[in-house]
Amino acid sequence: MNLKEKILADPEGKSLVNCFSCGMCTGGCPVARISDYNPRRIIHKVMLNMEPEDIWLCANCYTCEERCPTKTNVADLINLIRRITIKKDGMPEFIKPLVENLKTTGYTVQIGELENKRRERMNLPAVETTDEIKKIIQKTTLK
Amino acid sequence: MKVFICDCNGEIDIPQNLDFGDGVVVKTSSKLCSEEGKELIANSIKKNEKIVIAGCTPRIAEKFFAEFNPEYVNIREHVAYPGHADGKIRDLIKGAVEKVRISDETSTGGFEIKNKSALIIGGGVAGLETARQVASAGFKTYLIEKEPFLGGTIAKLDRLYPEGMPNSHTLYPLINEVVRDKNIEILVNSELKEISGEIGNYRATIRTRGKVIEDCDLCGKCKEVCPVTVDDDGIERKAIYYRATHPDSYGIDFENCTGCGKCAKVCDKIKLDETEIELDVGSIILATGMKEYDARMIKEYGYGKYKNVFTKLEFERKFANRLINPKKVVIVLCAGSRDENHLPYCSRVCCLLGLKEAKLIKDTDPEVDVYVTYIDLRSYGDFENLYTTVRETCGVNFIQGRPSEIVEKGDKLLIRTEDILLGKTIELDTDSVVLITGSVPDYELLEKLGIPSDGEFPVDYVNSSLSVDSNPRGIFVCGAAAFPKPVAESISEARDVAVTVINLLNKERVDMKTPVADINGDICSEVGCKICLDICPSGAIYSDGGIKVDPSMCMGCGVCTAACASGANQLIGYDDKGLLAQIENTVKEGDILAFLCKWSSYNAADKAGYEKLKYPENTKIIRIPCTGRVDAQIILKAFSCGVKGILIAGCPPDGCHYVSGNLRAKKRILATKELVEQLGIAPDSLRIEWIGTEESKKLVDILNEMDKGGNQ
Repeated sequence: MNLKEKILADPEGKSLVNCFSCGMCTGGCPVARISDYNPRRIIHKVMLNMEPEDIWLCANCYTCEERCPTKTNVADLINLIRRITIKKDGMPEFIKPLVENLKTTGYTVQIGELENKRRERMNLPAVETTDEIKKIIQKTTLK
Repeated sequence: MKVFICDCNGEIDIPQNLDFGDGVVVKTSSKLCSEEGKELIANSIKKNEKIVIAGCTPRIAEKFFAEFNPEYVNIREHVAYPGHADGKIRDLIKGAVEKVRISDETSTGGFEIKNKSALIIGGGVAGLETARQVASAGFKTYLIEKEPFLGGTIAKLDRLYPEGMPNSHTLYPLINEVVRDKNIEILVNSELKEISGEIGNYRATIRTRGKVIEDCDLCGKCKEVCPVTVDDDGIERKAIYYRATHPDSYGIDFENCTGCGKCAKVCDKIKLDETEIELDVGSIILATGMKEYDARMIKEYGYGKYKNVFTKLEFERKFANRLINPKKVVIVLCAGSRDENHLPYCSRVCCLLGLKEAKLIKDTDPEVDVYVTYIDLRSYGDFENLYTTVRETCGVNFIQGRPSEIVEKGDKLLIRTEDILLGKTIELDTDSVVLITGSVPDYELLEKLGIPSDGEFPVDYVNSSLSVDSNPRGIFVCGAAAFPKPVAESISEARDVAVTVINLLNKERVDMKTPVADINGDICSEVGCKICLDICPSGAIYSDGGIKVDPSMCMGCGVCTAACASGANQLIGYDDKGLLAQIENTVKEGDILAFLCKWSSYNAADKAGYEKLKYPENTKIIRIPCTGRVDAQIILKAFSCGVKGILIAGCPPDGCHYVSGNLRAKKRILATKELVEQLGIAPDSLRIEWIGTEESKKLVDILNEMDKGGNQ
């Protein structure tokens, strides 16, 4: 099965065919605003059996999914594409440090002092690291 | 009972000594469709005899005998032409005779057209044109308008949509003709409160607020004292105001009037009291026009929050009155349309309205920068010229992409959208945004008139109300109330409806055609499952204490009869006992029984006859209105009579004459397959197929396959 077939065979991938390429996802995408990332193009390329690009740039904010007029689960689809890609080719090198962060701190992104100072200014509680994820990983077969 | 058998000028070999039991007289003819033949049948009808006509296909026979409502047997296309032996003729006629013998009365009654008058709701172009046509045919016509003035939406527009002519071109002459016609009674500030009765004899209760101010000299004193200021789609006015259409006086906007009575104090001609009248009419026409989707619902676009985000009507009125002077305008097409979160459908005219607004801006001030954003630009037919003009002559810029959000930045607006053709997100800053929203139906009035809408425009109802094969109900919808459409199309649809109304009012009586469903209230109330209520594709079944069928809405598919668990619901002409008797007397051990939809597959079988295609002689075909009529009871009966295969065939998905009867049939047959398998019958001997009128080859292939399968 190619990527498109795998997506359509997955219960989470059914909405792929809903997309009529209106661009509302990309228009509201915060990552697209600062880069060439384009979620609509990812969906469109998959539909045309082409290799999608930039699948690792999605920040999972779900704005695209919230606004999509055709109820295409854009963010979920991109996550699905990531899972399928990892199953096929393994984890890309640049993802590994993020996974390492997740294990040690409970977050993919490193939360440093700078971040917490900014949160303090916004009256948000400081983020503390957690070893919960580590425990889950140890108790499952995930390594 | 009489059986008329026609040999079609000797084309059919009719077996000798046909005898169909007690009380059945057989008459043969070689040209039953002649005047003499029809007279023979007419005489039988006069004697209240039930009749069966055997001869050519009902497709042809109905041209001659439809008024007699007989049971047809096709012994030409289905026996003689494919070269089958004449014993089949005896079986087919026997089945029809026993069906007719046991079936209940097939007459479904009718209605007298007592009131030679029409009520038209809505004084916009569609209503005005319908009134003009119906009244000019000599019928009394009542035209009611909710607002204080005639003209509807287009009276508010600077230009007509989508072509962009000033609205006066169409509106003024139309209003003049309507006002001049003595047959038309105009009631403004009037609404339909309720209706009762049926086709030809409706009683409508109309509520009228205030009275038209007689001999108003437009002095304007009333306006000056009125304390209520109204934002009328972008233009501020008082609750008492003047619009240059009709009547030529000040009028009160009762939607916003507080009833303070200050105007009546400065002018004794002003009356604020409410009156109710009852009108007896034969027909009702809904022509309430466009109603915009509420742009506030599209949160990302900030309408109602940002002062420079406008609806199309507001923008057009403000711009025409020089209340705004933007240097840059972005027109957003499909605002909330084709969107599962808002309106899932395309409102058809919005692209053209957007193009019209773009042109209007450029015509007024070519210096204004105009952008149009779109998903797909639908400038169908002749409207491509408008698109070309706007693009080439006016120099408007087009961006493919649906804006994701609009934010305010200082005194500018910022639109974030992808430019799909660039494959990049862009930010457009602008002075004004025009949201081109779609239209929504007037649910309240649709419900009052008993028109099923199912959350969308009543397209199916509109089609069936104008079609030749459905029973008339005398209630019609035209113009943008039926579906958003350009002004010119509204006017031509108004004429379609007017012709139908005139023909109806010219009749003394309309008889309901069969088949229609009928519910035995006694049996139904015992069970009360209400399954039929939800599955009727034309919304003809309603609950009124008991469950009832409105014969004028029933299209006669029989889906409800097949679904009825108690047998209370019977499709007149195709009732359970009739069909079961027909099956029992038609089939023999080892036959293949085909239930073919009269709209498609039955015609394919006729075509197979014309083409002399070979198919098994033991195929017996029963004509049904829709595959949705066939239920498990019918199938089990046929198997118990020893048939080796059953074919149910009808129109392809989305091509059903009754919207979804075929899909329901498919579900039902697949479930029945499981049932027959449990009874030890091969599930493959029960088949459901889509066979269109042209697909005789497909039909024959399937029948041959089924015949072979059964022999194994």
